[in-house]
Amino acid sequence: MFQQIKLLTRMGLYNLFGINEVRHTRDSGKKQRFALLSVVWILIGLLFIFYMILLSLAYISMGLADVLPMYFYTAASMVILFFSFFKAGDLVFSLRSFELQASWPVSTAAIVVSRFTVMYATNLMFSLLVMIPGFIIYGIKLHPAISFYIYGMIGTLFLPMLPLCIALLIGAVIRAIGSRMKHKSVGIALLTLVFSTVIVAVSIIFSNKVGNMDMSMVKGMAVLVSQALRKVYPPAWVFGRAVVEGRFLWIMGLCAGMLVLFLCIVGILQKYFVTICSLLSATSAKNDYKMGAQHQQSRIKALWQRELRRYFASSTYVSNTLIGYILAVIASAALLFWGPDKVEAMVGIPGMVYRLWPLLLGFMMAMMPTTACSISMEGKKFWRLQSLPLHAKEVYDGKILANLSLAAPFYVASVILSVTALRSGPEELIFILLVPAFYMVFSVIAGLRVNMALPLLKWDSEVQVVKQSGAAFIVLFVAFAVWLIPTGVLLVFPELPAMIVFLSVMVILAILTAVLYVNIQRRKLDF
Amino acid sequence: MLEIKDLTKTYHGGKIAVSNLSLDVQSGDIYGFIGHNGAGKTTTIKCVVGIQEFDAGDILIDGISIKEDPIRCKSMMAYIPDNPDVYEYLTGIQYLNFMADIFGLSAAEREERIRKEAEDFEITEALGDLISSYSHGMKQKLVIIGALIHRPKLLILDEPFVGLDPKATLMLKNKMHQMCDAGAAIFFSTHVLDVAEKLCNKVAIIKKGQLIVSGHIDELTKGESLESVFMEVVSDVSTD
Repeated sequence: MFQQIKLLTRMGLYNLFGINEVRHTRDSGKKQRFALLSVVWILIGLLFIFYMILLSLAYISMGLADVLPMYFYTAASMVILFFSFFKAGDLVFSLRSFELQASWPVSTAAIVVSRFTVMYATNLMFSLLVMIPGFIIYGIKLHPAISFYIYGMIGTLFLPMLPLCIALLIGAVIRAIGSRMKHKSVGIALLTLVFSTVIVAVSIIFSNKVGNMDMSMVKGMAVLVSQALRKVYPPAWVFGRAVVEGRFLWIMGLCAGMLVLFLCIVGILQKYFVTICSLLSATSAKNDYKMGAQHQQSRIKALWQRELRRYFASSTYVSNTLIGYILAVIASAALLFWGPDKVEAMVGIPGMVYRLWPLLLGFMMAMMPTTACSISMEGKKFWRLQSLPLHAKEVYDGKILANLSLAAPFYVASVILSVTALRSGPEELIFILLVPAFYMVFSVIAGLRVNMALPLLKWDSEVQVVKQSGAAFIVLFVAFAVWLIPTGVLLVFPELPAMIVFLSVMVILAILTAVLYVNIQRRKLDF
Repeated sequence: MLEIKDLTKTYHGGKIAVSNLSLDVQSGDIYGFIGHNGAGKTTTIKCVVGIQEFDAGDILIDGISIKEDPIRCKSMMAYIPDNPDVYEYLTGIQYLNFMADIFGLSAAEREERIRKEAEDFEITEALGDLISSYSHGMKQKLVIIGALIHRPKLLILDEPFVGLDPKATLMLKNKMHQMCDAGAAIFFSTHVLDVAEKLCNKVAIIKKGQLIVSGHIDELTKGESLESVFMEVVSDVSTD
């Protein structure tokens, strides 16, 4: 059993991030792309560490040193839950791997555990990235006992298990329900989006509760945060107390609890694994087609339609890329429901919502364009487009149009809700209309260009393309950067008229979009 | 119809896949392309159909260079790969309509051709189902119909008979003969020497990216079987 898990896990890890392929390929271009991406990852990692160090110092200076471990533990767990939740189901119930592995003399439990272990490995890296800077700063400033580091490391090793188990369980439930639906992919995507909306809503409500605490007494803040975290995520509270107070039994109890939970989840999944996989892979065929009249349409419409059909055939693709657009509508609805004043109070930026809203809406519309994966999603079927008498421009335009037509209803809904909520004047109305539109179009074009630079056509699971590919990550990072910079300017210079920033953003985005689009037009269908 | 002139293709990392390969496939030819695994057959075919770029030489389709005018070249030919990896999220009829749209076929033309080809390959009733529900052979049939739908002048096939049932194999062979009688040309790779011997009027044998022999099958075999000729020329080159 352990040998089976070891072998299967090794195979899973070989596939992770394409490291094995890069190691053995003779393609220098592939190696260069991987090196470039690695540099980007390292830089982002360093930035993240720097951020965690600053946050740790800030917490310690505010007298919140004792809640630092439990706070970081909660943050890491929540992030792991949110990001794993989208991919856990797809990775564990990966049909392509299942069809191969099911014929091998390995137990179902070994398959489930190995797939879990691969996810655990990636999330452990993230946990360490969050926790280690905090531990070091805490150590330097407060000189704790050696048990702090030992218990901290043990606890961190077990940190990803609970969020992963929850993510896995939700993923399994979604697939168990979705696999019985007529349109499985759409059903699974919708259920995933509903669950993710619930997670976002719950975290907003909890952070709102934490934010509303009476923090006028600085001395009492640590206790208040500790109490709040105890309610939000009890394991974090146990972990924090255990490492700070050197409670051996607490840390052992926490880890044992995680392990028992993990074994229970494996036991449950093992029982239903084959059934769910079989249901997911089952295809129905009526075999009763009668030839009728056919219709001709333009090439671009045919390409656009094919893109949309491709899109809605993948629950992973839909649930991961639609989330930004849905968030834009939810945020606008929340603004309408609570009103600008309450939202300002909740976020702690009085008088700023009118200034920041168009940019925030723009960020959500730009977070995850479908184009960032659209070339990679062609996968092994890319030969079909390459061998057809199509100009590359037509193929790219089909992908761009598909993304824009998907985003358009969400854009219209969020703008209408926002305009109604803010009761905007003509000038504000123009910017609420235009700024998100500029962001949306920019991200669609930039997404396609980045995917052209970092295509991933050989993959086993759609998760590799949508969740783990360099292209998807870089586009998210770019969207974040083009939102954060003007937002920072508006926050730092409150006297600066927002109109100037909005106009500057629109001009810059328009230029970038035009340059990228012209560049895209010149590219061949050769990756 | 298809002229390959001194084709050379080197992969990243320096592996030479095809070296100075020249071939001439004329209208009415059924041209077999034979070689071991990894000999360079698929690479040559991918260069011909415009999926892969090449380093040197040229490929002309009806006198037009694929490097200079790939769209015109591709609109004259059709490609059937060894693995029918097609859009599993489409139904069969959606896929065929997609192909017809790309080649600009009118509604009447496509209806008539789809009806005919689907009936010939006995796949009509499955056209309303998702391709993901098809067997390997059914997918192969669909790809063949998609390739024939615009009546190409040049048909390129990579191991076309893999996965087809005997009836469909016979049907494809008949289609190939019909196309050639109508003035089209066919260039296909195969491992099955019996098929090549019975079907082709010309063959080319490739080894390690280099053309060993090519020409009319009768002139090459001179009464012997293609299999023995193949083994002989391949081993001759190995000895050299």
